[in-house]
Amino acid sequence: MKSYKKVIFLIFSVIFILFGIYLNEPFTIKQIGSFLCHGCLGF
Amino acid sequence: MKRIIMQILSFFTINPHLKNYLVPELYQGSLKKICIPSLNCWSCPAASFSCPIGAIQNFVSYSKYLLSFYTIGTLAIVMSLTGRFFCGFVCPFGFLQDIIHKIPAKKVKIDTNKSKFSQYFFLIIFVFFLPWLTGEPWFSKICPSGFFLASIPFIIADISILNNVSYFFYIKTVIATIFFYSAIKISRPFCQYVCPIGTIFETFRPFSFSGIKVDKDKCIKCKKCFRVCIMDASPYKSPYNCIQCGKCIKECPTKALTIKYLFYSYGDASYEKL
Repeated sequence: MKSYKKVIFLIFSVIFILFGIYLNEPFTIKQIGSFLCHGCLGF
Repeated sequence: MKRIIMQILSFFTINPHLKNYLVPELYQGSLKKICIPSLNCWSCPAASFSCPIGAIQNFVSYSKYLLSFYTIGTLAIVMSLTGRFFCGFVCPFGFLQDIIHKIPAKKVKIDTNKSKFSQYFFLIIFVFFLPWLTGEPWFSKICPSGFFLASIPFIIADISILNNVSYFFYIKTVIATIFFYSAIKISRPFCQYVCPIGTIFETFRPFSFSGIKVDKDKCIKCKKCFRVCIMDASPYKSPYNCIQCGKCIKECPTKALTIKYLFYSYGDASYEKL
C-alpha cells in the first residue's frame, strides 16, 4: 500500500484517540470492573 | 534481546502488583485508564492496565456511539507503527501459551491462513453482536485468559469462592481445559483461532509501516518458514498472522525474508515493496 495512505491512517488513529479522550473514554475504561469482572472471573 | 527475556520483563511490567495475589484484590488506579494492546485480563489481581477487548465490549453495550474511539485508535496506532510486535514480545497470554506448548507431546501444525473465519466469527459475534444485543461481556465470559490470570488466582487465595460460583464458571473451566490441551499440541491456538485483538490488528495490517516481506525472486518455497513459525503462518504465501518473532528469518536458506520494525529492518531482503 502507498505510504501516503499509511500516513493518513496514522493521522486518523491519532484523531480517534483524541476524540476518545474528549469523550472521557479513559475514565470510563477505568470504571468498567463491575461490567467485566463477573464475566472474566466466571463468578 | 532474546524474545523470552522480553516476554518475562513485559509480563512483570504489565502485572507489577504481585502482592494483590495474596489478598486478593484488584488494582484500580489511574493506569487502568490505559488499554495495553495485548490480552491481559482487567480482572487479573496484578494487572496495571485495562484489556482493550473488555473496553470495546463495554462501549458496544452502553455507549451511544457503539464504539470505543480511544481503544480502536490505540490498537490502530500500535499496528500502524509496530505491526504485531506486541503479540510476539509483550502479550502475557501469548507468553503463557508459549510455555504450555513446551510440554512434550506430538505437535500439530495447521496452516493458519485457514483460521480467518474463526477469528472474525469470535470478533463479530462475541465482541460486538452479543454484547450489543444483551449488554453482557460475552467474550469475557468465554475468555481463557480470564480463567488463568484472574479466576485461578482468586480461587487459590480464597477457596470458599467456589461455594458461590454460577454455572458459567463450569462452562469456562471446560473451555479453559480444552484450550490448555490444544496449546500443548498446537502453538498459540488462542492467537491463531480466537484472539480478537489479533484479528483487529490483521484488519489494520495493510496500513502498517512494520511487518514481514518476502523477496519472491529469492524464495524457493521450501516451507521452512512455515515449519518454524509459532503462529503456523506461511510468510512465503502471505503475511497473515505473522507476529514478527523473527524465527523464520534465521531459518530461511536463501535469506528471502525481512521483518521491519518501523525504522529497523531485520533480515536480508530489500524492503521497498512492503
